[in-house]
Amino acid sequence: MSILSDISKKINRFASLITIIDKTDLSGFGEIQSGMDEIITSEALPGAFHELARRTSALISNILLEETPFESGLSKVCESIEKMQKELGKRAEITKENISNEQSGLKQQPVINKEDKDLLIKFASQQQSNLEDFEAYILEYEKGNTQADNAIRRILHTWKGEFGVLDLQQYSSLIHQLEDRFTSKSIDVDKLLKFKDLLSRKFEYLAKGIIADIDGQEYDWFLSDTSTDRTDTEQKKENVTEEHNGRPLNIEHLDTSLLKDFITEAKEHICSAEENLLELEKEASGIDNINTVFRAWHTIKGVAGFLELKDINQLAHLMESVIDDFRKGNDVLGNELIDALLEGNDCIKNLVSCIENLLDKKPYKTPQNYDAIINRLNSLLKNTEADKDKLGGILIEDGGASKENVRNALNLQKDGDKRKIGEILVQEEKIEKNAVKKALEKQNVAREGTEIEESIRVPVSKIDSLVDTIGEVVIAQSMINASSEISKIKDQVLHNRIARSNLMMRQIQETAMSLRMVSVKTTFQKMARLARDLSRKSNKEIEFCTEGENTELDKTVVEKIGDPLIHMIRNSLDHGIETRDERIANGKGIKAKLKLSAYHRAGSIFIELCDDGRGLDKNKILKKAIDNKLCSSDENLSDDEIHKLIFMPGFSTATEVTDISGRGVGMDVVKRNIEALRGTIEINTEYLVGTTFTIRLPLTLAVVDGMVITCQSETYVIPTLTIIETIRPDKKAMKSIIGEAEVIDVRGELIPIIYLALALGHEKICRDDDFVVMVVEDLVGRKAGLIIDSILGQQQVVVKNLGAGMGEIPGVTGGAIMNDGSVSLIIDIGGIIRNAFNQ
Amino acid sequence: MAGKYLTFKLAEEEYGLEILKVQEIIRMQVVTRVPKTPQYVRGVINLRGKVIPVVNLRSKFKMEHLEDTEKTCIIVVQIKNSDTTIVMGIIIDEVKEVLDIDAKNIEETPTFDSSINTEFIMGMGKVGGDVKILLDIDKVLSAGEISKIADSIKE
Repeated sequence: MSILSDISKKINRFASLITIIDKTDLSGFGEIQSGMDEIITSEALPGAFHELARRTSALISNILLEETPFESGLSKVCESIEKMQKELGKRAEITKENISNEQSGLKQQPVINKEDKDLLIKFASQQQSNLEDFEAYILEYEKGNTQADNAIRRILHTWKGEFGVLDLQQYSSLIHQLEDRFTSKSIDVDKLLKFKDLLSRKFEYLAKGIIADIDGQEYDWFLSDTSTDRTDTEQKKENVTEEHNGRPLNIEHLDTSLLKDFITEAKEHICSAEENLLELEKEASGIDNINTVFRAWHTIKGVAGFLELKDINQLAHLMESVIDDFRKGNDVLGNELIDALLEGNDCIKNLVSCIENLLDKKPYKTPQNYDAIINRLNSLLKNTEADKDKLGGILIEDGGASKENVRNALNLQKDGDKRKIGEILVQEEKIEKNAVKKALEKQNVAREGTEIEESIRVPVSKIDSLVDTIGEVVIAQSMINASSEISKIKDQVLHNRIARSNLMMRQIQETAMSLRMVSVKTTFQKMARLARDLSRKSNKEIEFCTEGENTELDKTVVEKIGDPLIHMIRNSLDHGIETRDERIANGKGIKAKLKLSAYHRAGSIFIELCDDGRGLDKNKILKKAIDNKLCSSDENLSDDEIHKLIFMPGFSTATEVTDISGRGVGMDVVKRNIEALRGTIEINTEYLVGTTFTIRLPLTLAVVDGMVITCQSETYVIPTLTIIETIRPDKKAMKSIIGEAEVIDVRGELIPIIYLALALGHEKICRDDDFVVMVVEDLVGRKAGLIIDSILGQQQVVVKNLGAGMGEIPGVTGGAIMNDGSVSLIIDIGGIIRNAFNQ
Repeated sequence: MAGKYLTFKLAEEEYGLEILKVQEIIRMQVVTRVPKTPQYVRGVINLRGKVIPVVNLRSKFKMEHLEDTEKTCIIVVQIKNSDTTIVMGIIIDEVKEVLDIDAKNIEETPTFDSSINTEFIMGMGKVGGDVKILLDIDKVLSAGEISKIADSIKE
């Protein structure tokens, strides 16, 4: 039987390995795969097991060969491993060999009921933003921002609490220990980041209502710097689970509907209080925030009192008093105070959840830390500390100024002294000038990102339907406007009114469009993480900074821009940025700079990735391109055209394929993705100085500026961005080559001709004399003369997809609903040119 | 299989569609042709701001082509494709009525020789002396089909 337990140990190890595999580090797969191969040959296992192992092994190969998308593949591998774990577990039980005795931390989860499950799903599905914040804070923390320190602790703490409420003890106990370690600084940033990854994966399961266990291996991995034997963990766990039995609470005399109302309401208040407290932490002077917090707790206190919920009532009252003290201006709101208040707020949250449980006939427990919080708050009452966010506070903390000095300086200011607090202190020679400077920097860090706008979570489908409906209204309106009856109206006032309503309509449309806009912040954050990991891996020190994170883009664009950015950053790090020695030799700083910025200009969004690496080597590119037969040696290419060669499929200057990049797919993918978003990409590079990639994207995917044209009596829309010029050529300008291909001579430049009708699948083309040639250009700069019948006009149209089930039609971007309510197809010039030239 | 069916005419035959699959019935309108799609895909229409594909059922069943008449109309159906629902229109000759068909009046699809594809027929409904062919619309318009063909053209 030892074979079985051996294998089960192995599989458990794989389960933990898999959580630390990510897109940029596939090394774990190798071990898993070889393990799977072992299982296939092991005779101690039934056939079904072999089959599963074989499939998993094949799947891993596919992932490694990039035939299966990473995410879906990984989740499948996870599933298989889980299946194996379960299967083995069953087997072990049958043979009376309890595996769980050998494995530390593996604990069966109790079966949960539906309400708990709903709660769990709700909780897990809303954690995305917390995870993102958590990651961002960790990165900040790594940079030495002490504010992030608290934020991390708070997020961990909240999670711990939430998991505790959800009865997921494995999680809360792991987080609890992480918390301890974090406080004692005995955990490194990598581990925290991996923990975030683990959680994010687990949340995916949890959000589906599946209890995903953290197994012993995972557990140990995170805590691996100390020896964690089972008894130790178990005891710790018990400490967490074993909450002290609180005062009994009797709710039988209460109307449950009242209680339910209270619970919902209280939850809202708690949330708003928390949000405002966090804001207060960043900017201590927000009187509105204080008032909101005060009101929230006051309401909770009142209702709780009425419902005879003593614990909540007492706590809320105390917290209300503390913040009231502050509101009356007795002192400044310090971090310690805010921490205490947040903790209190969490405690109220727990209490409310407890009452919720009570409704489900579960025992009511006063949270363990209740008394501690009460004591802490009591001690804080009328004894608040100096604010650390204020310059004075910072100066007291680490600038060497005494409390008294700061207070005196503040009093001077109150008495009309116009000098800044730092100035006063320096001039009175109380502190060093440098200390003030440092403190100011610290204050700036603390104040960053203070503005949190109030927001509502709305399902995307609702917004889409609103946008659709408004689009329809606009169309209906323009149909009315186009009717001949309207133009016959003589009444000027009525005309003015119609014009006014048109204007309003357009405003509504714009607002509706803006609803879909989200900031690029999350995407940029992910890139920061990626850059960090890659720089570690490639041993190149970089300083990654972002700019314009709050630039807004259409949601779909933001989602799709991630992949190209990943490729670009990889390329930048692998090819662009030199090795340490090379940088020193070139007289550059050891730390390379990589800047990702976004900004808004002339109706487009620009995203720029700028590095100070070695730049593109024109000659090397050209040589490689000729070697790979991507262009011929006698072509006379401009610098710009040479640089654009890197976007050709199969192009790579890397002499060897590294695990970061080099297969020559990257930049091709970048170009295609950006093309799909109807954007452009430009390269600006100087050899040995650096490279800047500039992506230009339309503000929204939903609207396109188009030229409405006819072709074979059908109406089409061609995006204006692609059109260079329109000409009515005389016969002489058209020349045929080898009797078939035709070119047009546009001021000496020969441009190949494409018959749009043919490209769109019409069989016959009858070309009358009265045709138009539209010179268009795709993103790679390939030009073509499109033969069409006539141009009807220019118009902004809303891009719609052709309905699910239609799939992708080559040469067509989508459909547009025209003024008469009919549908016209929007032409994808890139696709048309690609198809025509490849044939 | 028992339940309410919307019946319609196609050539001289009468067909039945599960009423739950039917979203609405609209009259014939201008259909925009979409290139590089199979013959039976007539094109796309604007359904209150949404663009949906429209399929010509006559040509899907390889029946003789018929010019649109007054009675020609589009039945908008919701098709299940794995776990997504796709809205599509089917062009038919004439809508008849909604019928309640009992289980006892539904017979299994008779077996023909293998050249006839009966996969998308759920059964035969007998109402009064008539026989209605009950369609499994999910299979008729297995949604992947259209995009698959479009993809193969693209390759």
